Amino acid sequence: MATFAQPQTLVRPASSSSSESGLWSWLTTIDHKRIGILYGVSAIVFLFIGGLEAMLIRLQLARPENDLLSLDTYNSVFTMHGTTMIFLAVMPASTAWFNYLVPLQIGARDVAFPRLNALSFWLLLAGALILNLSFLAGAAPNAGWYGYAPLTEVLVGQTDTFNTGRNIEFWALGLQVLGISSLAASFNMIVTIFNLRAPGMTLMRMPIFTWATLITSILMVLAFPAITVALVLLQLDRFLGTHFYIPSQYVNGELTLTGGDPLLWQHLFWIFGHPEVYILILPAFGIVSEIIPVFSRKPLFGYAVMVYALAAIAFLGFGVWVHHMFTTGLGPTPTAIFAATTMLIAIPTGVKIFNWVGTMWGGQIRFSTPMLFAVGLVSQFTIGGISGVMHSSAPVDTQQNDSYFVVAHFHYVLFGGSIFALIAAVYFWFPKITGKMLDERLGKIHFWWTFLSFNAAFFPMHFLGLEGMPRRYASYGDGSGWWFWNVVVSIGSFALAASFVLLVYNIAKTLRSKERAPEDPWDAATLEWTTPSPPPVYNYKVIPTITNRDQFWADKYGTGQDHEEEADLEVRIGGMKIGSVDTEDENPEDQAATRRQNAQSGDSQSLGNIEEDEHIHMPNPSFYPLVVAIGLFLVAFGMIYSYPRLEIERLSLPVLSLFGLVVMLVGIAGWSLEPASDPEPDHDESVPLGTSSHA
Amino acid sequence: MATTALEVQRAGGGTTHGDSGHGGSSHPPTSTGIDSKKLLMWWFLGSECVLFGSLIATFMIYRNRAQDLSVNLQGIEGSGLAVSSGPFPNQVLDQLYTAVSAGVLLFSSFTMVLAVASVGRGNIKAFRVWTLATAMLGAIFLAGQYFEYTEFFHEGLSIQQNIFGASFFTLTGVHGMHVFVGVIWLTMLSIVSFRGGISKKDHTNVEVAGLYWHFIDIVWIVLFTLVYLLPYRDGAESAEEHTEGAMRLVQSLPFF
Amino acid sequence: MSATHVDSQAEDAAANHPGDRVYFTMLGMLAGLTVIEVIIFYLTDSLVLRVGLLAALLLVKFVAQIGWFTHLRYDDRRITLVFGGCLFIALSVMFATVAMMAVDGFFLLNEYQ
Ligand code: HEM
Ligand SMILES: [Cu+2]
Repeated sequence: MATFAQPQTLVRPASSSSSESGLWSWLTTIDHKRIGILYGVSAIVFLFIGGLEAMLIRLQLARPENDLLSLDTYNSVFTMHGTTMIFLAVMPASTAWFNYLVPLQIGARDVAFPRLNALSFWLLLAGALILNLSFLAGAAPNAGWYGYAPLTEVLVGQTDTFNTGRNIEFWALGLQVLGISSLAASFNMIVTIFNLRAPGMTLMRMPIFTWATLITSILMVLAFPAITVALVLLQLDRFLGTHFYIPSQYVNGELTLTGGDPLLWQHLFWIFGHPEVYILILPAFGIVSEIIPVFSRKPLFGYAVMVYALAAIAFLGFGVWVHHMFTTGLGPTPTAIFAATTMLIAIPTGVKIFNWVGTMWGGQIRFSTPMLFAVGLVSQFTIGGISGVMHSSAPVDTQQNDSYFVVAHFHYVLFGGSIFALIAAVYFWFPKITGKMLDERLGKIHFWWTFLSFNAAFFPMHFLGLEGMPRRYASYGDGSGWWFWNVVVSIGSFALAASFVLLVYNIAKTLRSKERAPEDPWDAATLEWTTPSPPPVYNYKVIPTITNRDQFWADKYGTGQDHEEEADLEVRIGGMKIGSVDTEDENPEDQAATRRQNAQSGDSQSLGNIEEDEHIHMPNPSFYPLVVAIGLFLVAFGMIYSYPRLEIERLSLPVLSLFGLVVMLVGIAGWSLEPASDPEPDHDESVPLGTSSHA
Repeated sequence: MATTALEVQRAGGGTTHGDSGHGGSSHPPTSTGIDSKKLLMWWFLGSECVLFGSLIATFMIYRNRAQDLSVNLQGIEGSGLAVSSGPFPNQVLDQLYTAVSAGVLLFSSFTMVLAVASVGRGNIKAFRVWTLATAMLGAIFLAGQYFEYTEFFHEGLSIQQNIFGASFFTLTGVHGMHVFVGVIWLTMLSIVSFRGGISKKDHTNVEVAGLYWHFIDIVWIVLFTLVYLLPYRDGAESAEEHTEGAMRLVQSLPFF
Repeated sequence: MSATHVDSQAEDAAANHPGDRVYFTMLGMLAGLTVIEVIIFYLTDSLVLRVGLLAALLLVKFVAQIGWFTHLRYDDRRITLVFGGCLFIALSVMFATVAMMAVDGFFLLNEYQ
């Protein structure tokens, strides 16, 4: 039957849910495309909130000795700006694309664990809510997105030292919930990519974005536990009076030298934190690696090397965290070792830049909006990458550390890198998601507006940093001479923020228009373009068979030409062939026929199609993921607002958390009692691969 | 139409290894031939390596620190600071007691393996016995941990008392919580089996629970050596025992 | 048809896994090693001997558990790669951190006497 490699196979006529659009259907959805859209919309909302915070920062710094924001407010604003942008804007935006695209790109009907996928999204929302509710409580996190101890610490029984409000609770518990969300999402993606590939799709035939998803997910799986532990220890310090991160603490009422070490926080945080920056940028690399070949009409140059470079970046990414701690006095040996590993990581990154250039070289380049933003990434990320290599030299970093030079650096990689790619992705895949093309003319204006204002906002920060302007300061002196570039930066920032209004206007305008986009408007190479726009719930009526890396191109143009071209561009390092492509052609006509059939499956005009659809079994919607997420939200929230409490002997437990725990358990119980397999499993398991029991 | 689908799927069956990799499971075949739940569990355990790794690293960094401070910095007069005081590990840890606990957990790994094997053979009765036995042994281990903690409290070692207490209770506590989750999971499995919900085709579900359980046991094997058996330095019992001087501590910093 | 198919699968799986005898032997061995560990703890005062022996025994017990009880030895090789890779990264990162953070370098290599 048609349920190839679909884990949870509940019978549900596929037509029943594609048409539903009520609120309930969104709350209970487990369709990877809808979850992707939910992720995307949330990311845009939080991008605007984070942007608003950036505007407050820039208003404050627009003139010297400004007192628009109080010092405390300023702390909160830049902390929430960083935290929001990283965890609530860029990461969810990447996850949105993982969700929407990966099952389509590998020829699957959904992810491996659809309900877990829904849980990931609701937990994202729960964590985001916790972080942002802090504003209402007047206790927004205020210790930076890196939360260095002892800025985050308390002394037992003291009300006026360090950070005694609830600010850090909101931050730590919010991040903890977000961590669970990211972990669940990454496990799901990893298993999906390994296990649900369509027949014939070997690892080395996977689209490069799918590779980026895989590697990013592995990074998340190995990086997040470190911050989970770091935050648990922090909460123990704050709740129970331990002293993991402060050298002295009140023990039995006496201020005692305990030997706790703030550097432990920095280690644990950056063991997570450095892989995290690759979690932010690798999906962007994947997106650009999809877009550039399409608009150059050439296969990706050195596909295999691109894959190895992704893997090398991820692997080395675990061995460089100390470059964030060069100024903490670890001594020459660790400093030298980590400076070297950091420089090493520039190699695979540089390889990627050169391969993008190699892809464009000699291609028939079309500068449509997605391509403009993609090329924008290649240029702007390179600037950020170069200032990054500068930091890798410890003596140079000592000069630049905590100055605006660093702020310039990471905005070139995070904005000029991640955000540029994410915008490119919106323009590129919008017609697939909605069936409508964004306005190209507006898009081009949007690009140039973004590009210019971005550079106006961030390039002068390099000068400010080198002149000594420190980062995270709420104000600067009149005589500092910094006001000129600060004014330029602020004006650039407002212009940059305004550019997003153009994007939103474009989206709104397009959604309202009636004009439909063709199924494959860009003449693209990957499988998702073989489906109707938007794709049906089950994605593929017939699971496609893969014979080629750029499968859709092979279908459209045959295999010979394009691949000869790639073979010409074969990459050798030290005489060893690395970029080899092996694409035997198995049965091109048949495959192309299948895909044509899939492309038609959207319109159910022919009776035959409707009959077909009923044999495709998709898992049922479920609201238990939402229940579990609400439960976990209450658990975390109860730990922030920890009264009233339940006292049992020595234990004193917040009632709200206990209630949340009960909700969570009810959710988990309902989840596992929901039938998890086909009501008639027997007929499934007797089916050898590729035979249909309905035949 | 349906026939086309058939042929296409058969033509491309090359990448899949068939479903021989997961005995008796009802799940549809996967691209790798490895069951999805099982793959998920292994990646989860990989992630747990970093979780326990971070906790163990914290413990290793701090395991002698309270003692060292008490020896080297005892009575820094006039500073207004007291210095970390005992109980220290050599005074509280009871290796024989914990060896028995470790044995209990080890034995539970054995019963778990038999539970998995029983399901594989379709012997549900044996499965119930072994699963319940495993859950019971886990519960005994937890009870042992409870008494150990109570004993330590009585001797004055709390989570705030010194940094050994902080890192000891955190590390073993997180492990204990994992055991607790495992006990619940296994109990649920046996309840389901009493209601007739487990059969041979649930082999993978049981195996996945087994993987989790064995991993928890492996973590304890590591903790038993690192927390209980590796030698600790002694702390100062009284002010006379110290006077190495603070410089000693500083000079011994690595890489200087 | 369905029944026979499943049966043959289960037999395949059984052939792939060690029998109960092997598990019993492993249990005996692991228990024995634990006893030896405790004996080492009480008998030797030599730091090098204690640390060396305990580390070796830890390694043996670890491999025995992961190889036989979780049947990594009998399972798909790619699973070993997954777990081994994660373990490798976790171990390297944590060793480096301990080396940088522990005041006495490797936590017990010098003893105050
Ligand atoms: C309109 C766009 C943006 C503007 C004008 C802007 C502006 C700024 C400024 C001025 C700071 C420094 C605050 C200080 O040190 O006092 C800052 C910090 C930061 N920004 Fe942005 N930013 C923008 C977008 C982004 C994006 C898209 C990201 C990430 C994806 C991001 C991530 C960060 C981070 C991580 C910090 C450090 C916060 C901290 O020190 O805790 N920013 N931003
Ligand atoms: Cu870094």
